[in-house]
Order: sequence, then C-alpha cells, then structure tokens
Amino acid sequence: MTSEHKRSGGDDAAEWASLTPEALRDEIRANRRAELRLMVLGILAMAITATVLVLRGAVV
Amino acid sequence: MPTGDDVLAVVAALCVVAVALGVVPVLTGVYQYLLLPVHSVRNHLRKAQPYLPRVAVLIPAWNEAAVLTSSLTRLMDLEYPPENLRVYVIDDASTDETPAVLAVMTQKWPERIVHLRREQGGQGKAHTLNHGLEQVLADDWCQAVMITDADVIFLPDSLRRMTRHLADPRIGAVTGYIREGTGKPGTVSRFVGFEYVTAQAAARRAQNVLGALACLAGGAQLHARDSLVAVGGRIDTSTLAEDTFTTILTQLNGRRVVFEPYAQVLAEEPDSINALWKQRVRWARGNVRITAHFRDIWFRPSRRHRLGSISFGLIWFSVFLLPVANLAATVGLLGLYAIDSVVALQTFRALWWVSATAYIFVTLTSLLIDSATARRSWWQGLTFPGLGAIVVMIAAWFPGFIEVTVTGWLGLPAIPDDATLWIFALYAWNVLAMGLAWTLKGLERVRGGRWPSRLLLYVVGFGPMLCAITLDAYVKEWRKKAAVWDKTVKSGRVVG
Repeated sequence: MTSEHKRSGGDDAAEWASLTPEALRDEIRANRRAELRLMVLGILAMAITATVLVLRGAVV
Repeated sequence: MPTGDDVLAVVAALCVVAVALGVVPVLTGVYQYLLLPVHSVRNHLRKAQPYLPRVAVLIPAWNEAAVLTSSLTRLMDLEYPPENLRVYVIDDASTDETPAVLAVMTQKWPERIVHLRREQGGQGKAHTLNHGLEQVLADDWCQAVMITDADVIFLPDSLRRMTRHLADPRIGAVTGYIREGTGKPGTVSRFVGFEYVTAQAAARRAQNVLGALACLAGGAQLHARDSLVAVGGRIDTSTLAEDTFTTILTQLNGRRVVFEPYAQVLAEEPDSINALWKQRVRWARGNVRITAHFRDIWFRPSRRHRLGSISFGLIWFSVFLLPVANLAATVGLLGLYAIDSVVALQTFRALWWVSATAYIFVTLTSLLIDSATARRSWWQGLTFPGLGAIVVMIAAWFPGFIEVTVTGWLGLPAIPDDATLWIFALYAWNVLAMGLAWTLKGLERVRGGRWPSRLLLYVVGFGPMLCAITLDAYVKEWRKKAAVWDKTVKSGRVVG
C-alpha cells in the first residue's frame, strides 16, 4: 500500500482491504459520499466563473 | 437578379455560420463539465455491489523488461483475493530481457503469473491480446478479463473498485482512471497529466451520465467474460484503436460501459513531443477508421444503446472534427474582415468571449476535481490552450489593453486599430497555433532544440498541438499511409 493510498483512506482503507462484504459495501458508500463533493466543486467553479464575468462587465 | 450587395450579405452570413461552427466544440466541452455535478447523484455506484470474480489480467508485452517487475509486483500486491487473480503476460517475441524477467516473476508466483510467449511477433497489440484471449477463454476459470499495459501500476484498491460494477449484469465493461504517474515528470508529461483530468475524470463522468462511453482506457479495461464473448471474444485488428472498437461493440450489444473514477492506475506517458505525436497520431487514425466503420450509429437514437444520442454524437464529433471547426472559424473571421471589419470585430469578440468563459470554467473545475494532478500540473493547466490563445482572449475581452496599455508599459508605440498583421494574428490564431505546433517536432529533434521546443509549446498550447496531431492523422489516412503499430517506449519511471 502506498503512502498516498494510506493518506487517502486512513483506517477506512485498512478496513476495506479486509474484503468482507460489509467492508466493501462501506467502501461503496464512502465513494458515493465523496462523489457528492463534485456537486459542491462544480457549483463553486460556476460561481467563480460567473463572478469573473460580472467583474469583467464592471471593468469594461 | 441578386445585386453585389446581396451576394456579399450571403457570404457574410456564411462566414458567421463558419465562426459559429468553431464555437460548437467549445460549448460541447462546457456541456460535459456542466454534467459533472449531475454525476454526483447519477452514477452507477448506487447499483454497485461487493463482487470479487475470478479475473484474468492480460498484459501484452514487447521489450518491456524495464517496467514488468514493478507492474507485476503491484498486481500481486492488489487487495484482491489471490486465488481469484491470474496474470497472463503475452510476450510478443521480445528481444530484450523480458523473458528473463518473466522467468523470475513466474518462479516467485508460479500459480498466479503465466508467461505466454509468441515466437513470431510484431503484428501489433491487438494480435498479441488475441493470443492471450484464446488462452484465457479456453477454459471456464475466468469470469472477467482485465486488459492493461505493461507499465501500468494498479493502486491496491483499484481492481475491486472496478469489479463491483460487474455485479450488475447490465454492465459489460468498466474502465478506471489512468493518471500520469511519472516520478519526475517533464513538461509534456505534466500536460498529459492535466489532459487526463479533462479527458477522463471530467469527460468520462459526463459520459457516465449520458449512458454512453467513448472509450475504455487501454490501460485499465475490465470486461465481463460473457460480454467479451458476445462480441466475438477477440479484439479487432483492423484499426489502431482497438480499445475504442471494443467499447463501441460492447455497447452496441446492449451492455453498458462505465467509468469508475475511484479505481485509479498510474501510467508512464510520453515526455517528448515526437513520442507523443507518434502515439496520438495512432489513436487519431484509429478514431478516423472507427468513425467511418460505425457510420450508421451516429445521431441515430436507439433503444438498445445511447451511442446514437445527439449529446454523445456532439461530443464524439467535437473531438473528431476539432481541426475543421478551428479552420472554419478562422476562414469565417477573415472572410468577414474582408467584407465588413466592424462585423468581423464583433464576431471575433463574441467567439473569444465564449472561449475565455469556457477556459476559466473548465480549467478551474479541472484543477478542483483532481487536487493531486492540480499540484503537479497547475501551470500546464493554466497554459493548456497556449499563451498565444490567452493573449487573444485578453485582446477580445479587454479591447485596447494590449494594443495601448501593455505596449505603453513596454515603451512601444500603440498598435493602431487597423494594423492588418495584428488583426490577422488575432483572427487566425487557432490555425496559426496548429501550424506552429507542426514545427515543434522538428525543433525538438535538432541539437539544443529541446528547451526552445518546450518554450514554444507553452506559447502554442497543448490543446492546439493535439489538434494539429489530429489533422496530421487525417492527412495520413487520406494519403493511405501504412498503419504501423509504433510502440511507445516506456522506461519504468512511474512511482505510486
């Protein structure tokens, strides 16, 4: 296991590596939660882009 | 009888349409990024289940001694039931130390690594893979087949994160997220690293949402056995993009293909412009043939698959026809300039206003969704369209800023409004950048040319260079140049 991998998963990663059905289900749930982060990041990127457009409108 | 003014008006309208064509790929790119938040709630993870089938990993190898020890060791260290994993290295008549390396590895893991030697090789990756497929499909041991490359390093959790999707029988194949993983990446490798965020982490998530995937990554494609058998149990040998061919066949057969962003593997990507050019021409020529071969599916919606949807067609052709779109936009702008310079200026600003907005949104999102790559390749991300294109965007967004303000800072005379050369450079930048990209190959080859070629790459941009490579692939296909399988040399610089 790489150091990067340990950092990203921590204790959960060690538990998931046990490969028991419950551990694997927990890993799937964790990945689904992590995917929800995209919603925040996508909206954040849209907000920043919109802000730039507004500022650009103010400058010109 | 139409007057001269009528004819000019029609030509001007056609020029505007040509410029609008240039905007289509930009808008399609933005559309894919807008689908990213949707993927957070609409993905296949909700249907994934713990599933650890017996997997046969196929590794085609020709002179891969430098990388095999590392990649095979990492496969043996996967967090996956060892009794359910066998690795078959198909040695395509290697002439280096590959057989000796494999002798050591098969002795260390006698039940789990198999050395398949072809005495007559050199036919290409697809033929090599077919040799392996014949072996692994000969008995009923394997339930899934993983196709990968000799240099690919699998992270410990990657395989099980792919197999969990095969628990759903509607899924025919799964692909992982290939990240550029060189220990000390150079400029070209860093650009590729950022490109993979856009082309995989972002675009493939969007394609998951649309229900149609353009390509299973060649280095991490997991097939359900029955799905692979249903499409012939063999890899197509007629194109240079066998992974895309299999991806499309699988979906035409009614099985879905999904991208799993949390199954990450590391690969060594080319760090020279010439090696990258060779690799990407091969890919692009493959795509030309695939576009023609599957000509009946584009923009023809079907109940069996989503490849014929309008959205997917736009995504496919926005990449495939990008050089044409750039050329059309340039011809349109220059044509308008010849007819009416005021309309040309307004159209130019509109075109680059859209491009600048897309650049900010896409770059920002890409850097946010993969922080590890962002740390490695943030500068290559910012300069992906090229410093030249950024200058054009500034000129379009802030009229007079460069022409008056910047030249003033530099103590130079202001650029007049009717400076033909400046206007030509702005309006034709997309095509000029592709032209300059062609010189990069030659410049890199000359003695002492490596450093200047990297500097010019930042000016031209990685995106326009890829566009020039696609154009080169068109030309080679049109001239029916021999389609040769040119192996990308790997040196074992991946660390993970």
